Amino acid sequence: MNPSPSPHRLCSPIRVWVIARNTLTQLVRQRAFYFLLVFSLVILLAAMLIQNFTDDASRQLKIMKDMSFFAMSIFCTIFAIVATSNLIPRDVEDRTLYTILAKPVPRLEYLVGKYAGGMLVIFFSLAIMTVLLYLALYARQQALMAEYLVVLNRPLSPEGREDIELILSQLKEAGPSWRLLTAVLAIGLQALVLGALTLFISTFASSGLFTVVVAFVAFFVGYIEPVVLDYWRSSAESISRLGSFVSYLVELVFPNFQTFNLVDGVVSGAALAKGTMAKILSMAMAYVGVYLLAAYFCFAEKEL
Amino acid sequence: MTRLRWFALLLVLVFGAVRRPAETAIAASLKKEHFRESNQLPDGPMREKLGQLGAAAALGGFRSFLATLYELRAITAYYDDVDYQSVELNYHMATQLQPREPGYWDSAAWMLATNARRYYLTYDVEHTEVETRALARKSVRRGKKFLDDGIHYNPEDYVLNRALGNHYVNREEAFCEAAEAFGRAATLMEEPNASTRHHAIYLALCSGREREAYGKLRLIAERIQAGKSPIPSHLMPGSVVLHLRYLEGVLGIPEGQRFRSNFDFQALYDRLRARWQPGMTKQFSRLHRLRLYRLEEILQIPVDQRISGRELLRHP
Repeated sequence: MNPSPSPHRLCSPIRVWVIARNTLTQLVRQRAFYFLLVFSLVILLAAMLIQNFTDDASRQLKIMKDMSFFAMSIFCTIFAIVATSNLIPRDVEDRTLYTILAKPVPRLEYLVGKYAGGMLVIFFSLAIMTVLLYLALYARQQALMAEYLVVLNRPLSPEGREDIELILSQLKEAGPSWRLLTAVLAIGLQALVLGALTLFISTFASSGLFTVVVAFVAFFVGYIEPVVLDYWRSSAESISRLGSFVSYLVELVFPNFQTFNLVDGVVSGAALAKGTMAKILSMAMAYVGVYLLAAYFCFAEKEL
Repeated sequence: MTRLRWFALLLVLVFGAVRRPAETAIAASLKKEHFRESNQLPDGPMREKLGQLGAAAALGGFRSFLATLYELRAITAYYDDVDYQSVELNYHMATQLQPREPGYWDSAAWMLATNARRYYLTYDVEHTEVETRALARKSVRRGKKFLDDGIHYNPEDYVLNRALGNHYVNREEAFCEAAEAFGRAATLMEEPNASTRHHAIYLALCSGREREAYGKLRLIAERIQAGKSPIPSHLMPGSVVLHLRYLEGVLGIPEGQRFRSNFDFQALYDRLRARWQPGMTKQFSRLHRLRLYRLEEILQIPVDQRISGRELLRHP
């Protein structure tokens, strides 16, 4: 007697995982990780260049952090938009989409799986870049500290000794620390939201190029809009009803990417409270949930 | 547009309305935690210098990176072009982009008040002597402005307050102001340090505050003598004992209550005097002249044999 087939589950994490894993493989085959090579070169270049530019020890580490976070942000932003915008059109082009949807795979699972696959690439890339950054920072910090410890062992005036001790304490603070992970997390969360937004746009876009352009514009507006509107509201003497309505509409439609703008503060040494981090994390999850649901609404009735 | 697409649009709009207060609360928390202090729209002139792309990058979370680039440009202008206008402009941009990074203010002040001043007074051949002096004075003023502005943004930074103290001593010979700056720096460290010492030393040169200065100098000297300071007792700083002994005389402290020390004032005087040659007056700073004067008072050198009495004090 044949065992009765297991009932088809409405939402299966295993099916989502299979799609995500395949998307990851697909993106890896497209040599998405080649950027890591560029990133390594950026860190190496930064480490070599800064020695010629400044004698300030803690500033050397700051320059390394600045250049590395800049490279991380650029990679995650471009990847989140360009890779996600191609996920569905490529499957349509390859006809993989029809094979998948011909099976009992709900469209929501397909979307979530594709999104998760894309984001896994960002996750692994960020993890590798973070390890590289920490290693480079640690190596430079130790080299600099060794130099100053040699000086400290020489006979010094009280003022000279205090200066060296101050530099050593600044070096300890400027080196690799858990605080830097806040910046990495912020970059990752921003990429998650941007990826979800791009996927949503791609579900109703007429072409891949349209998706990329609209996503970049939304990203740009999402960064600028909160600061510009704050400035405008505080400086304008009187705001017309129409102006007020339009600005409100802009706020409703575009995501506020300033929420995830933490890198500058982290590099400057500011520490984020756990409560605030939890709020930012929740906000990112809410964005992702809403954009994926909106993407599903658009994709559910799409004629393929 | 299908029904579900309308749902999608509605969902995005409703979410926008719901998230707005939450995002305002997050922005307020970030501001409180020093994550938003430099996150304003760049002003008109700065926007012009940054360019549209730079202004957008500054708002897009790359302020720190841009500030680094501007500092690198300032350093290049210093090393390659010796162009102090460009140094100042680039440091101005760096400090405006990241006002809570004390290192930029400190470096900018050092570049202008020390390096630019020395360049104008020593190496500048393009201007007349009057012009180079004016340029040197101007660069010292601008250097100080960087320190003042830096302290305005970072009042609790030890390095900036100490740098301001050093500026007052070396560039303006304003000892009361120096004492105040070192005093502020000293309070920012847990343990007594060089700034604590400098605060007391320059207070001793500040007219009207002799008794306060004496109390502080005495405390420092006793700590060093008792081995409670990182400075070993046999390396007791000359400035501390010199001003202490001088103030004991000025304040009329009875012999039995004075600080006991076997510091060799004569050796210190001989060392300072050996560096002096007739006609060198201008090379002696007011601080050196005051030290010499106080040593001559302590050693009770006859007036006609004093350096400070004959020539040095004629150029206060």
